[in-house]
Amino acid sequence: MGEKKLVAVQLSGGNDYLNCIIPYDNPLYVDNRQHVRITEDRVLDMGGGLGMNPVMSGIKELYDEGKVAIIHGVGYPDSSRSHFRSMDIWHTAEPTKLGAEGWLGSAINQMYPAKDNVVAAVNFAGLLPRALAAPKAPIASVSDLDTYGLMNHVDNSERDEALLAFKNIYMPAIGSGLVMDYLSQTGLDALKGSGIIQKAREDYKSDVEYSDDNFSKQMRAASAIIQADIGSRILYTQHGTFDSHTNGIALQEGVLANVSTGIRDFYSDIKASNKGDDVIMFVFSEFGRRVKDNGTGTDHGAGGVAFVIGDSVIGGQYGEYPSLEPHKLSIGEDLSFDIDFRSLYTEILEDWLETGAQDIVKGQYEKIGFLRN
Amino acid sequence: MTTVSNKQDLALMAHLLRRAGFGATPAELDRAMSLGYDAMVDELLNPDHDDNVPFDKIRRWRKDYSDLRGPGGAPGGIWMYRLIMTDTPLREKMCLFWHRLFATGHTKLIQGRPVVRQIDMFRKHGMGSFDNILVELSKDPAMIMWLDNQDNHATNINENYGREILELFSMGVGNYTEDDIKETARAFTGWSIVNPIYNSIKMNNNVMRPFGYLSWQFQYNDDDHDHGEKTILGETGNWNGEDAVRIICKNEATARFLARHLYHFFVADEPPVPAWPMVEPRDPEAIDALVNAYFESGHDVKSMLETIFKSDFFKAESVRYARIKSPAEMVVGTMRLAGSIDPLSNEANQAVDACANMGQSLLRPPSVEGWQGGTDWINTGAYVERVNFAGKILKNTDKSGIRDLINRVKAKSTSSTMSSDEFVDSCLEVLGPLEVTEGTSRGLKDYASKYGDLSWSDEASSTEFDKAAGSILQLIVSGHEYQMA
Amino acid sequence: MTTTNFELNYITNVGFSSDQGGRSFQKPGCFAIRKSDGRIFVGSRGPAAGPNVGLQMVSVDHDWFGKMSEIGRGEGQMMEPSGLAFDQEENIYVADESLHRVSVFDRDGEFLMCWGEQGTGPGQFEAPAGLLILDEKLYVVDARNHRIQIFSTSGEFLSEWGSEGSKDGEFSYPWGITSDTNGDVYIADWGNDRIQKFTFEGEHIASYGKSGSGEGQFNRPADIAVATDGKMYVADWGNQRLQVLNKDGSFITLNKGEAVEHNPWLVEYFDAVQDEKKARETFVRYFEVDTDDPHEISARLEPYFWDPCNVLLDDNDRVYVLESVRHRFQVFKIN
Repeated sequence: MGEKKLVAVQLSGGNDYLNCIIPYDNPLYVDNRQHVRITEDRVLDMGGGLGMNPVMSGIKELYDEGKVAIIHGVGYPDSSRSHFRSMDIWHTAEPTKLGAEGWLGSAINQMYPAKDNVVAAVNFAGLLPRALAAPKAPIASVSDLDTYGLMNHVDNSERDEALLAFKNIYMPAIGSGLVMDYLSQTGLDALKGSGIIQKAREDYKSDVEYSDDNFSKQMRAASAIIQADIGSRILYTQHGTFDSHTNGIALQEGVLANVSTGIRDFYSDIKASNKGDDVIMFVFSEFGRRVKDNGTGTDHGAGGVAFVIGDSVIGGQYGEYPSLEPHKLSIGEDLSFDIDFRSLYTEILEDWLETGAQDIVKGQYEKIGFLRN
Repeated sequence: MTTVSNKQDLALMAHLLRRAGFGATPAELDRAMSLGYDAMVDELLNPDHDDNVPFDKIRRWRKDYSDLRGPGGAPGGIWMYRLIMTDTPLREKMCLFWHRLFATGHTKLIQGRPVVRQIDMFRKHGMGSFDNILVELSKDPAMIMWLDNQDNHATNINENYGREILELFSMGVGNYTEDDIKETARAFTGWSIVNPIYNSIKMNNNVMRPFGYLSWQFQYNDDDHDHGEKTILGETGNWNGEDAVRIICKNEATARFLARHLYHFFVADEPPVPAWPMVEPRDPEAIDALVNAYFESGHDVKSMLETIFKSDFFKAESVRYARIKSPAEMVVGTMRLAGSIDPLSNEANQAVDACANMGQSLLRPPSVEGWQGGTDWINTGAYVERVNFAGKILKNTDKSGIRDLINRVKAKSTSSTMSSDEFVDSCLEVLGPLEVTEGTSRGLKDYASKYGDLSWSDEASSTEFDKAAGSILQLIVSGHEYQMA
Repeated sequence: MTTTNFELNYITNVGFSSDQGGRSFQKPGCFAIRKSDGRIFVGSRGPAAGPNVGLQMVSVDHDWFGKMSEIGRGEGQMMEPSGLAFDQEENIYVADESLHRVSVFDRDGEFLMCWGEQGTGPGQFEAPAGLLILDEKLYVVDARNHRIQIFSTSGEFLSEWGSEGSKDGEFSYPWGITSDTNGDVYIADWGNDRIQKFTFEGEHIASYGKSGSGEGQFNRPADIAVATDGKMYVADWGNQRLQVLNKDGSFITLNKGEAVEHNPWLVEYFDAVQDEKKARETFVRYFEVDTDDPHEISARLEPYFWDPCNVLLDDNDRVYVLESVRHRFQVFKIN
């Protein structure tokens, strides 16, 4: 088994839990979802009165093979209904005040205190998510793997020369004071990291044909990095929007289909390159949505569902599906959470990335046990 | 003929314009030199006109700039447009200074408009008296909602603003007690906004429904103000918010804290703020000079700035190129070199994104503590962004600013020809002038040697020359020297 | 001409803001009424991600008929619809200020044709805005070229007039266009803060208004509608108000918007979100503002027009005012 790698999959905008893992025969589901409901004949039945959204056949296949841990009722106390605030809370593992550092950025700093792994984390999610932001953490941000690279603005014919000149400018600066040393070393590291990633792109081979939506592009890029085994431990992707206030079912199913297909293809790809055991995917959203629909969609809610997927995962369901009984709802309207998201983080950090969790999640949280030992 | 003293004057002027602004184009530097150093400082300190921003066209054709909902794009873009286009750079730089010190963000407020209006407030009051700035800040709707002062009631205080005004905005840890925090919070009870409940839920639920967001307005509710006696920093009375500010501002700790922040921002990097109670300032005499300026001027920020820019500690060679440019300084300075931007284009938004990719999301600071800066700005990901952004901008020889740089390189020679070494030196000169290490100079010249002697006597060779100049300029701005201000 | 009995009475508002498609508008830029059935077509320009972009179809009675077209650069798609007009057969013409073209759809919403590209030549556009069909010809306000272009309804370029400037017959970023019962043409000369009136051939007849915020003065007027009696209804965009002028340009009245009640779409919405409904009970709609910037005032007072960009009249003496950033239109009765 090689170095363990985490692929974070962020579902931005608030994934509707009730229509993702569907309690299709629960009368309260039917009552509350008069307009925005997936009927029993459409669900991918999982038994026990639950079914997956019909567009999730890719994930369902993996679930049936025992590769998918479904974590029910994930959230945190006094859930925020603001996308940005709630996502910030997930990113910084800090629900009560504004956190300064991202949980995965901090993990990288802990794992590589010497900052000597210049491609330890790779972001494919566009603007750097706060989850990856921590002072000095070396994060490569790859918006498009095909064009990524230091000095990618330089014409190809001159690029190698320009990069050599870059190196020649930076090498002699080492040894001229603390700040300049740090700056120069980082410049050289950036050059090195960029070269490593470009090489990974050139070497990447795959028989898997990914879809051409944005999410599949990110997963394909993540697969290329993993296949090259260049030391990248955290790969960050995102898709959205899941913010289905209106046009609820069609909107969610559109993006869920992309995610399910992308995950399925990615899994096949890493499996084919014998990296299946090295990778887990962690799929989350900032909150679930309101229990009762609003006529054409659903509004922001609280408790949600997370998935951990891979060969090293013990497939199955964890935790209880939250009750839809009115008195059990959070502030009378939202699904309650049962599992604190920091429990997931703790298990991922300690048992997968093998780094301390306490300083990052700022406390002790019981692990869930979805990882094989 | 460039004399030695002229060269020194030029280097000092360039230093001033890097710190009090965002660097200078060669034309701006020429103009500043004709004014002279002290006159240039005075001009920077006394902006006498508003920026000419074509808000009507922007609102008509860039629809996201009309309601300024955010999060990224438009709210940051409207400020970025000013930062790039302004001819009163110190005023905008002070907006950045206050934004860093009073860090308030879209992250929680959800709509961009109040944060943009807070920056407008900094623009209006940011070089006036510190007392006034703190009063305006306390009335600022974005700040009220950011630190929950709408929940600070006579019957039930919320300490958040009382704490942060003392800890982060004025005095710093160790100069007040927990009781002072409570009493200060009491003084600010009733300082709220119109429609606090409805606007709070729109913010908390992140909903623009039904008709978009509503812009916030300050409202003082006398009924909800605690009219009892309070003791703040040893002074007892029936204090209101303005009194709390007055008491805070006459305190020496406040003067020292502000002085150190200004020094950190304009002169040389200080250690992280939380370390200040334990670590002496880098230049205690400079701080003393600024504290004196604060008290002698009646707490006037402009007087402190004047003291900085006209001081020996600012002019010293040892502090030049000693600060790492913030992403905003990097992006704005580079964009300004390239020339003006079209308000209807996407350039300002792209600059905002570039800034964010380098680690500074304008209007979205990571926390109430703002950005620490210094070496925290630098990591490999951010470095790739810095190098690629600057290179991409400098590559565009269609831009008026870049054309001007190239023409000025050509103007260094009267014979339409120069050696590759002269060529590199000329490129460095028009870029600042940028002083580089021996190693950098050698690296650049080795690279340029492939061009041999360059000439621009005919159209074909002139085109070649422009291309070569573009390549060298790109390489220079990817160097470590260009990361420093 | 008597104006003593003139009244403008607020009736209702239609709209709702959403980013996810469905029954809502987002940053609407234009609207038009289909004569045969009174159906109102509203062109939404946001959000950038797109589900709302297209033409929403509604009625003044808050009926929702769905959406036509979608975001995209292909044929039959649109990015930023900025002008609408119907011809005799009720084909609908759509100007797109982002794609710099005019698209035509039939009565059932089937795409028929499109023409135009960015440029300054005949048949090219820089941000086309208002559209007018007059005597089976299509008048296109070519805003950033400061001119009017005239086409046959099949897209053939016929003529153009106007250039940048502030003299009679010159324009500064013109926006809306309409005609009166005589067949004269009125254009909101946005950057010059005036309305200009022309013959259908582009001969200048008159100009109304000047820069300012007083009565009869304009701040970047966006659009105009002219009633059968010759009264002019002007969307005074920068002043955030509707102004009504006599045929001779003299001031009659103005209105800043009065959308105080919950339209039926809002009622349903608030019934579904109890926490917001409860908070809304404390909501004070009008209060004394501490700014004199009209744009900011409208940003604070929800009943006011915010960026009124289009104005329409129907055959039942009703005036409609579309607001770009409040995602709705308000309806008034002329008495």
